[in-house]
Amino acid sequence: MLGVLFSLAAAAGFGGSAVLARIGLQYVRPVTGTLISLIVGIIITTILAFVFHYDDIRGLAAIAFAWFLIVGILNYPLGRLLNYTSVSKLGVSKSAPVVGASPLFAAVAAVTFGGETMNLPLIVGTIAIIGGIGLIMGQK
Amino acid sequence: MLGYAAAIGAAACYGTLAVLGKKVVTDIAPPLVATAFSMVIGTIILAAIFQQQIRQDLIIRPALKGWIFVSLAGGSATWGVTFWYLALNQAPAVLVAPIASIHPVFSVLITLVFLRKTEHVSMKTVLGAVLVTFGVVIITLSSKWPGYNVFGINI
Repeated sequence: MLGVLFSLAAAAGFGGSAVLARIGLQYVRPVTGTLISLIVGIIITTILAFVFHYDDIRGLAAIAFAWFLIVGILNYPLGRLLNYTSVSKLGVSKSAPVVGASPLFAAVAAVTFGGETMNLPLIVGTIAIIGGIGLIMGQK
Repeated sequence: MLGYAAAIGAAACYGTLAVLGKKVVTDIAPPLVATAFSMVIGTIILAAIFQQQIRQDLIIRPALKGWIFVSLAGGSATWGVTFWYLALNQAPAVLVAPIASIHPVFSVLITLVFLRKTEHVSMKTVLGAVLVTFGVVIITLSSKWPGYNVFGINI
């Protein structure tokens, strides 16, 4: 039960973030808005990381930072900035569902590069996602 | 069109991240540590690439309301990530991922309630969001599909 509640809280956090960004981005450009949102996130996550994982941080290998670099570039200068740009241009209701279709790309990567196979749910899910995005994009 | 291209680009980045991120949190560092450090590095790179634009914006000084709401957006996203990891501590990913994937529906519902004056949400948009979320939940659960052989075809 706690897992379900926490999952719903996570969904509310991600969903609310897009709406709050939409309001803020009426006054701030996406690049600066992304930077401000990241600074707030850094303060919170860094404090939590040092409080709960101080020993793990001390034991980080040099190669870890190479991975953090790759993940950091994908997630923030690319991912979040593109996300905020789309929210700014389209609004939340059109942008959020398209951005939320990211598991489709993960599935494509897993099938193409990870050796996983297509199955019926994957096909059905893909069609549903493409149909949903088509509905949203097809509006005048 | 740029908006949709940006949204698809963001989805592609986050999707790729889901595959890479699994490796990072399994073999490299705990999720919170990976999030904190990748956020710091990503922010430094963003600031370096767009420093001119950021400097211009700081000189112009955007309205305080803008600063407050994007700050809250950052806090809300961090709330989401934190509860995501807390949920994974309590329940398996096969339960957490589909539930957390319904966030676009949350976005549309919150928009309907609080941003009615700013954004028009059509029935097509609501239907599209529900369809996308349904598709995401199905894909997230697809790893548990046992597989069947129907007329010689494996599905």
